[in-house]
Amino acid sequence: MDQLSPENAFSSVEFAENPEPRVPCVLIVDTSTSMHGPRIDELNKGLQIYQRELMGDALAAKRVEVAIVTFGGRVTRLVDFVSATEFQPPKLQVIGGTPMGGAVSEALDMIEERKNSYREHGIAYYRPWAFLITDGEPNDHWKPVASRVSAGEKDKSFCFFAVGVEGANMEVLEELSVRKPLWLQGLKFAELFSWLSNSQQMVSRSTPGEEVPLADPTSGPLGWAQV
Amino acid sequence: MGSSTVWRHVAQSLQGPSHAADGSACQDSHLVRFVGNKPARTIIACVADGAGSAKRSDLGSAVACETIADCAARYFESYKNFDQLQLEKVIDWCETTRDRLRQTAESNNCKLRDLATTLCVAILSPASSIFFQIGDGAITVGNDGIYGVVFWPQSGEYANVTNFMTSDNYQDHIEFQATTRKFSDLAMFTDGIERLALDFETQTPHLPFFHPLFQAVRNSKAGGSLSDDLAQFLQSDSVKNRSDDDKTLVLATQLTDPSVGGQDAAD
Repeated sequence: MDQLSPENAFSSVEFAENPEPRVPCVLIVDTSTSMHGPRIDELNKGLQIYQRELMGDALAAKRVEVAIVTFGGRVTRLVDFVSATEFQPPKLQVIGGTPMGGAVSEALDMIEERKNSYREHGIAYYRPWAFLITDGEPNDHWKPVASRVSAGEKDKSFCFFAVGVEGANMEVLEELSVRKPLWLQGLKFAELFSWLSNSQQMVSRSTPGEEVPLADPTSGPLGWAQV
Repeated sequence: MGSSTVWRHVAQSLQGPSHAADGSACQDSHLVRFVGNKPARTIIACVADGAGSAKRSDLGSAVACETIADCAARYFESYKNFDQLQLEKVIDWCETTRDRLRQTAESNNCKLRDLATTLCVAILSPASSIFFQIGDGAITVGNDGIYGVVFWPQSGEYANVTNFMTSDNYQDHIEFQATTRKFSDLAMFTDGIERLALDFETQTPHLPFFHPLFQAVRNSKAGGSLSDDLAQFLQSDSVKNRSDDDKTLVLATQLTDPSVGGQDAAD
């Protein structure tokens, strides 16, 4: 159906302008020296793909908000929450050790702050995502943040996902994440970020009572993970 | 005897583009019924939005509207008006509705939660107005171009969470309002329309949305194309680009009857 003809009785109706409901996602990315070389290169390419695919979906472009916390030597809020339309994928550089606990904690703080800001402005939102990618093990005090993750999952405050690149300490990730951590197959960062974008596109158009089944990341042509 | 009035109404429930694409049924339902005799009849209007994830919520929303309208009509037969209607009685109606939903689920080999649906109900009678609601969607009423939202759409913390009739704790979420105030304009809609019709920051109806709608209903002629026009409007690109969801819109307005003895338009 095209635009209404002027003869249509409802042709002069005007619409309310409300802010779009948001899907916040914070990426918690390991940028310690072990990620150097092809790993960080493929991850950087993955971020470009993520941005491009979100932009290809009119609704997701307006609704998905991306933030990035890196941990390489120290914890950095590299990108504070921006809508996909404003997201400029950074070129990540590697340096230093692996303060993973501090990075996760910082990301969860950002989620809380973002929710407060949504509430203040009457903006509706979907359950936030926290998405951890690492190839190492934490060199900081990470145990307290594990209980924060499990409490947050229990209260449905956010969804926490952990992805291990070869070399990751899976035992730590299993303690940190309530959901089963996944191994990245090789360097399939492109597939991982396509999956992330697809999943968030689904969430961003979901309606009340609709549970969004996430595509199985371990199978199919776009599979990127193994358990 | 005062001047006679008639209700003129128009209503549509239409599938959203994403649901239409995968061949699923429209999960929204509505029902408008009139009881009582002229010069002033009572309108009973229901809209219901079946949950996106519930596989037969199309049935759920339809059964909820029918059952509530039946209960209200039977009540009217007994009491002749709605002036004493209270929440307790409305909960009886909801229990009857849930029984019907359970039977429907059984005969369709599914569970009650597979029929999950919201419900908004308005009963506007000559001496009283009754409203109740479980879940999202909204009822807007007013007079002379001044409108208000009866209950703000219920939402959980997240945008894709609301309350349903089929939940065991639905009574915790039922909102009920009875008043002796009378309203000549009534609009009811499901959440597919919410963000076009309401200003969420100020929690008010968006008047440039409602004024032309009621104007159109008032100016329509019996036997005209109002219903088709509404369907075209709900399926226009400008509406589709703003909302992917199923959409229901019920509009009713009370007019002074120019020809006493005429029919309720589109009744």
